[in-house]
Amino acid sequence: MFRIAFFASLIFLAIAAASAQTLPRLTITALSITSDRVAAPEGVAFHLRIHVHAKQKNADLSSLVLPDVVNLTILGDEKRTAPASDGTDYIEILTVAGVSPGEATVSPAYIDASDPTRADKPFRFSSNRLRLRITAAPGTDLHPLENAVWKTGRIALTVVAGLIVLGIVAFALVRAGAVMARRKTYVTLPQARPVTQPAAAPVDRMAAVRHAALQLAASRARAEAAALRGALFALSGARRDETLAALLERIPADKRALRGALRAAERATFVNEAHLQGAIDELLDAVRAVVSA
Amino acid sequence: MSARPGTLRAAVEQTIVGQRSVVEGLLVALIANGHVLLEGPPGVAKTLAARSLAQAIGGTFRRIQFTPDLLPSDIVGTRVFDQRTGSFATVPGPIFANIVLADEINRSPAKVQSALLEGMQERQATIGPETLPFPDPFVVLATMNPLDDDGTYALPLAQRDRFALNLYVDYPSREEEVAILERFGAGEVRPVRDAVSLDDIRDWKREAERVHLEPRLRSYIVDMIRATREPDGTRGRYVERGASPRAALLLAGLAKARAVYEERTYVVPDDIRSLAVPALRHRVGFTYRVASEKIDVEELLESFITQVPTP
Repeated sequence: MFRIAFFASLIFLAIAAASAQTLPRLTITALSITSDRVAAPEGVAFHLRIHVHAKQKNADLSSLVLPDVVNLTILGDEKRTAPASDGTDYIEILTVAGVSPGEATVSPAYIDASDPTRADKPFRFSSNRLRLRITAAPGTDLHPLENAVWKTGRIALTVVAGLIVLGIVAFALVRAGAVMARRKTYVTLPQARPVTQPAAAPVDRMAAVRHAALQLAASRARAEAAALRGALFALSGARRDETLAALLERIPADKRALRGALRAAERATFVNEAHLQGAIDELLDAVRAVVSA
Repeated sequence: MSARPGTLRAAVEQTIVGQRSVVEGLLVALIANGHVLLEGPPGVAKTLAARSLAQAIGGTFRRIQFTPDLLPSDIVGTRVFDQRTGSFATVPGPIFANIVLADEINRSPAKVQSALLEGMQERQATIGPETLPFPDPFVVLATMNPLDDDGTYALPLAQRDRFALNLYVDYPSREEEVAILERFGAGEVRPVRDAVSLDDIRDWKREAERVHLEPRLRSYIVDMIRATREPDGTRGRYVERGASPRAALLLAGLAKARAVYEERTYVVPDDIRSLAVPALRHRVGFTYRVASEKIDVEELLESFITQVPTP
């Protein structure tokens, strides 16, 4: 029993060390998610803004894992990396819409990285989580009379809002001279402190590989082969845009089992139908070698 | 048993030191039935690569030096009166060859460029009343020198679109340069002749047509092409016109050809990624900012490509 535990811990340490080597070296000083709405009617698009700030110049933040969203559908994704005087800012804006009335949640976005300011220890930098309210779409569940009242109310509100805006503009114009005379000041928005915790254990990724292999063995379909390939890529620390050739350049030559499994997974995912079953057999054998290694 | 692409690669590499990506690009274009635009400074073996390729496949090779006074008939051919027969005889021009090297294509005016580019598209030429097909395989390797553009006629985007690949031939590394001196210092190295046959090339082209391309890879190609047409904030400043759907079709064909080159019967994402930059470099219209801000086009294209997740 003691011997099994000893070997298991050795394997765990070896995998943890290998995984840490493949993590990007980043010092994340801000990681936050904000929404431009606290409540939104169902089906109406609004935006979630993910902001990451890394201390390193030209930092590669492509390994950022986006949050899981519940009761929201993602309509679009726009990302931007901007060099800053004190590092790199990365902003990703997700356009989302509520699916049904009720609560919508956004889990934390995170990035696994080894922090050079903390002896290159692997860390998981996580953002805050969000909880939003999705209301019924105006006019969808209302009686025609209620609908008319709703519309009239909305028009009245728009008029009032317009008058308020006009008032503010007039006030601003009167004060313009004084404002122009003042020296311009730039306000730096406070950056959300990221929550740091140890990176997810690589054992989880190995478990995902095992799970995907079991699924493939049961279904023997291409979709499951592709899922297993994804799990193997994740186990190897692949970036979103990385291909097999680029990944193999980073994996040491002595990791033969993993390299073989990645090649077999590539074949099983993209080979033609006539050779698919043979390729799946090869892949399952290769994954067995990875798991047993 | 027909020869394989690896035999041809080894034959070409007998005379070309280094430049692996250029040799690969040339061979892939040959299998994909596409033409290649070679850009690079003088003296980096562009002509030698074309000549070596022609000799290694046992095909015919013609070199056309483009000059401002060149005429379309100098390329396509003409009809000459034969006094013995009392009739006109057709004399095909240098374009009727398996490998045609169009040297410094931007030194000739548009009408001469058009004569060549039409032939590249149609794979045949009409001389007087006769329409003659070009030999199969037929590949045009056109060169341009990016350093010296005085008195040149730039190829418009629509003309550049006819080339499957735009390969940049850069200076060799120090080690490669030493190897060049070792190999060529003792005298002329003759290119390997007839390493493969023209029938082998035709067989590879047929194989490429049968190569499997998974639907998710088709989507990958389309997403990549669309990324050049819908650039986001910063990159939008540098792109005037994105790549056309023809680029997607050609990239798919090139990826299949690379699969044959790599001895596979199916395309993998690496085939697409490795060819994306040379297949798109000449198809994307860039704004003046790229030149004025000295933006590296290759890096810019890479940023479009890497924003599409690998399937």
